[in-house]
Amino acid sequence: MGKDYYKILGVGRDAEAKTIKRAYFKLVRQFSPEKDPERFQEIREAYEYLSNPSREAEDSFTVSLPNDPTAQQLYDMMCNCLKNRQNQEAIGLAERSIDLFGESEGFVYNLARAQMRAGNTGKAVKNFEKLTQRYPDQVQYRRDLAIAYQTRGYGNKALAAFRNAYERGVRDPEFLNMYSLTCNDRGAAEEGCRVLIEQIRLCKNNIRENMEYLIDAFMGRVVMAGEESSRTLEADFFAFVEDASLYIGEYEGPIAQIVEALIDIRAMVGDLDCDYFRRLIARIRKSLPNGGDQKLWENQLAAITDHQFDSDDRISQTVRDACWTFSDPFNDSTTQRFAELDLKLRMLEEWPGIRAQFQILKQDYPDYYRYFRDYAAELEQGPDVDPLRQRLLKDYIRLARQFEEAPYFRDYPERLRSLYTVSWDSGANGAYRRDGKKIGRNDPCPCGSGKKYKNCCGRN
Amino acid sequence: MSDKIIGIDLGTATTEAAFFADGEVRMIENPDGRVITPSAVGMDESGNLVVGERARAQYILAPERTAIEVKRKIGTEEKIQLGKTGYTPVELSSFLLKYVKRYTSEALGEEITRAVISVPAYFDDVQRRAVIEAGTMAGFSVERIINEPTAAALSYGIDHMEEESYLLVYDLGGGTFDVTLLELFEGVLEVKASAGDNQLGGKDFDECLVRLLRSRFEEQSDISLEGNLYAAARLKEAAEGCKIALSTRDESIVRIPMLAERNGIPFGLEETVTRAQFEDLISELLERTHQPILRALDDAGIRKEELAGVLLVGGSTRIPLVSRDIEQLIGMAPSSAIDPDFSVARGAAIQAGIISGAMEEENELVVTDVCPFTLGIQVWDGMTSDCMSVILPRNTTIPVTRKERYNTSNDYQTTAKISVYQGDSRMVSRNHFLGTFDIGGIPPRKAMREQIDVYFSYNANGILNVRAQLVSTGADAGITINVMENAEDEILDVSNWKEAAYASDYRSVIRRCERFLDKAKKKAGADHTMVDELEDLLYRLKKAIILDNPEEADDLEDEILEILETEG
Repeated sequence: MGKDYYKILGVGRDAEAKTIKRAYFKLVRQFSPEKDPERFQEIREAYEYLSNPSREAEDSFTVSLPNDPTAQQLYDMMCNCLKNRQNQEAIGLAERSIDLFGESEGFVYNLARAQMRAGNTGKAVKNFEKLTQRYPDQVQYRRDLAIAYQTRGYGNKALAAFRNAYERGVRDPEFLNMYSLTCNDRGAAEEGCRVLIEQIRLCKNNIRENMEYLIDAFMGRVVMAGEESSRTLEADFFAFVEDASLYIGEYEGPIAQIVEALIDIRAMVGDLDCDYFRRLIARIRKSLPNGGDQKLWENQLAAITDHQFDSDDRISQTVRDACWTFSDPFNDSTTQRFAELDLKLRMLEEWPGIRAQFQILKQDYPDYYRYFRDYAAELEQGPDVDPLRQRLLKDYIRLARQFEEAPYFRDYPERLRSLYTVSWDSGANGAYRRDGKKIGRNDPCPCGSGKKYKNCCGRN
Repeated sequence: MSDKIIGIDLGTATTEAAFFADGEVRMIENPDGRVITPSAVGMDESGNLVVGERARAQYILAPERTAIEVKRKIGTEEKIQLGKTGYTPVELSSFLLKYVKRYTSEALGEEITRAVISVPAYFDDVQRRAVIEAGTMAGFSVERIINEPTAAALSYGIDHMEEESYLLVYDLGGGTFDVTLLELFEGVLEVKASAGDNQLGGKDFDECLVRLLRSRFEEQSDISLEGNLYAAARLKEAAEGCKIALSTRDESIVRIPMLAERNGIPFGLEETVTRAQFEDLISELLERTHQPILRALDDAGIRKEELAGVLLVGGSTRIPLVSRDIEQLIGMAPSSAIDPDFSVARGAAIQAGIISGAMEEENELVVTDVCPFTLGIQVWDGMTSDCMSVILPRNTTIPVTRKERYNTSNDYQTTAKISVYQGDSRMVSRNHFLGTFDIGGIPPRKAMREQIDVYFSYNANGILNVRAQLVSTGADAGITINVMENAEDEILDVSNWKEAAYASDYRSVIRRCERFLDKAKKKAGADHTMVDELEDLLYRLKKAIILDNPEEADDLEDEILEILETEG
C-alpha cells in the first residue's frame, strides 16, 4: 500500500524540491542512522521517492471511470496491484469492477495491462482491440495493442499496428524496440533499421537510463545490416562508444558481441577495415576497468588479424595452409608431423620467392612468424636447399607409409622419381651416395598406390 | 575496562589511532613517541613477533620473515611466510591491531576494548568481514567499519558544519584508490556516490621505480636479480625513498652500495631519477583514476563545476603530478584543508565519539553513507541463466533494505537457488560472486505461479544480509544467513542417479560434464562461477533423473551441453 511519503517528511503535497530537501536533512539530524536506523530508513525511502523527478506517472493520460467513489477506490487498488506486480489480484479486481460497473475505460485498460503481465496475451489483445475501437484518438492504446500483437505472435497485425502508432507519434524506447523486433521477424529489415536509427537518436539524450535500449538497438542494426551501409553503422557505433564510455563496463559482454558481429559482416564480404576495428577496441578497452577481460579482447584482436591474414594477397596459399597447420595442430602427433613435412616441402618449391613472404609474416603477423622462424633460419643457411629437401623427403617417405596418400608427391611427382635417380658419373662428381633408403623392386611403391615399385614409379 | 571508543586508520603502509574527547581529536602516540606506526609485522631472530617500527626496520635485512602491505591481501586466504610459519592476512592484521590496543590503552590510562576501524570505501563484503575478524581477534569490539573517504570528510565537516557544499574526496593511499562525492548540508554529511580501484596505490608507483632501477642495474652489471629477495627489498626501500624525494625535488640519486654480486665481486647501484622520468612512468597508472572520478560524479548527478572543493587523503597525494592531474580533470586545484595522513584516523575518532556519546548532539555531524557496489542475484531471463537481477543499485544510501519479487521459472519446482553477486555487468559471469543458498518448501505449481520475495539488507558497516520469503504462504522460505556461508548439504542425495529409469539417456552428457569439471577444477585460474554453475546444473540433472522428470532433465542437458560446447 502506498505510504504517505509527504506525511513522513512533514511537507505538503505541493512542496518544491528545495523544501523536500530541507525537510529530509532536518529529520535526518534527528533520526540519524546511528540513533534510529529504522526510522531513518523510512525517512530516506520517502525522500528518495519524492525527489525522484521521473516518478512513475501511472496515468499520464486520464481515463474515464464511473462517477462513484467505490469505482475510484477499486481503480486505485488495481493500479497499486499493478505497481507491486500482483498481476493476478489486479485481474481479479478488474473483472469484479467490470461486473459491477460495466466496461469502463479505466477498468478495461488496467485489465488488459494486468493480462499482458500475467501472460494472458490472447485476452489482452482482445481488450486492447476493444479500447482502440472505442477510443481511436487515444494513442496509448494503439501502442499497447501493437506490442500485444507482437507478443502474441500476430506478426502482420503487429507490423501494421506499429506503423500506425508510429505515424501518430509514439516514440518511447520500449515501443521502438518491439517495433524493430517485429520488422526483423517480418523481413522488413530496412524499416527496422530506420526505426533503430531513430531509437539511437532519441536515447542519446539520456544514455545513462537508456543503455540497455541502445545496446539492443545496435545489436538489431547489426542483425539487419544487410542492406544498410555498414560504414554508417560503424561510425555510429564508434561515436556511441565514446559517448557512453562511463557505462560500457556494465555491458562488456554484449558490446564484445556487437564488435564480433561487425567484424564478421565485414570479413564475409572481404572488406575488413582492420585499422578501424583496432582503434574501436582500443577505445572500448580504455573505458573498461583494467582494460576489460583480457582473453575476450585478445581473441577479438586475434580474429581481426586472422581475417586480415586470410585476405592478404601477398601470402601464398601454401604459406597460409602452413600457418593453419602450425597454429591448429592435429591431435595425432604423427599426422601433424606428416602434414608439417608436406607443407615444408611445398614451401621449398616456392623458394626463394617465399623469403619475401617470411618477411611479411615477421612484420605483420608476428604470431604466425614464430612457427616459421626456425625453418626460415634453416633455409638461409645455404644457397642450395637441396640437402634440406633430401632430409625432409627422407622423413616424409618414412611417414607416408602410414597414410593413404602422400599429397606432396601427387602434386610434384618428379620429386619422387628424382630420389631414386642414380647418377653414374661417379668419376666426375665423386662417389655417388644414395640419399634415400633403397627401395626394393618388389616392395610397395612409396607413392602409396599399392602396386609394387617395379610396376609403378620404378617403371622407367 | 573502559567504554571509550578509539578510531583506527588501518592503512596499507601506516597505521594511526586517534581519540575524541573534550570537543577535540587527539592523535595517540605509540611507545616510540610517534603517531604513525608502520603497518609491518615480522619475526625477529629469536622467533618473537615484532610489530611496527621494528618490523619495518628489519625488512631490508630479513624480508623472508617480515610482512608489509598486508592490507593488499586481506580478504584472501593466502598465507604469508614469516620465517617457517605462514600466517593469514587476518592474523597479521590482528597482531598489528593488538599492538595498537596495547599502546592506546597505555596512552589513555585504561584498557581500550572498543574501536572504529577504517577501510577503503571500495572494499567488498569479504574484505570488510576480514577486517572485523582481525579486530575481534585483537581483542576489540569493532563498533563500526567506516569508509576512509567518509572519515576524511567527517574530519573536514566537523570544522565546517555551517557550510552547504559538494565535496570530492580523493583518497590515494598505499594500496587503494577511492573517490567519494559528498554533500554537506544543514549539519548532515551525505555521501552521494563512491567509486574506486582496489589495486591502485602508492605501492604501484614504487613498483614502477623498482622496475626502472632493476632494469638499469641488470643492464649495467649483467647480473639478473630474479629471485633475489634481499635485492628486491632493497630496491623497494630505495624506490619508496626516491618517490618521496621527487615530490619536493626535481631529481634524486639512488644509491645502493652492494645490491648483488657476480663471482664474488659486489655490484652497487647509483642512478639518477628525474621527476619528469618518474611522472612518465606513473602517468598511465594515474589515468586509471579518471574513470572512477567521472563515474562517481555521474552517479551523484553533480557536475564538476558544482564542486566546492577537492580534499586529498593519503600519502600518495603528495606527488605533485596528482594535484596537476586533478586540476586538469576537474578544473580546480585540490584544497589543503585536511591533513592527508591523519584525517582518516581523526574522522574514525569522531565517528567513535558520536557512537559513544562523547560528542555533544549539537556539535554532532550526522553522516549517511552508501554501498559502492551493485548487488543482485542470478536469474533466468527466459533465454539464459547468465543474467543479473539488481536488488540494490550501487550508491544506495545505507542502512537499507530492498526487496525484489521473483517468479518460479520451472513447473512444479519446490526449491530455488539464490546466488548473490556484486558488480555492474548484466551478466553474472562477469560479476563477483559473494555466496549462495537454497530455499525449499515451495508449493509445487506451474511456472510463474509461485513468487518469492528476496530481501537484501545492507547495514551501516557495509555488510550484506539476504533473506527470502514465499509470497503465497508468507513463510520464510529458507535459511536467513549471512551471505558468505555457502549452503552445505544438498537437499537430495543424488549419488545413486544411475539406477533411475532415465539414467541411460543422460549417461554420456553426465560423464562429459564430470570429466570437464575435473579438468577445470585442476586448472589454475579456473573460472569458478562457471564451475559452480555447471556443478549446480549437473546436480539438478541428476535430481531430475531420480525424480523421473525427463522434460526437466532434457532442458538441463541442453544447458549443460551449451556450456560444454563453448568452454570445451
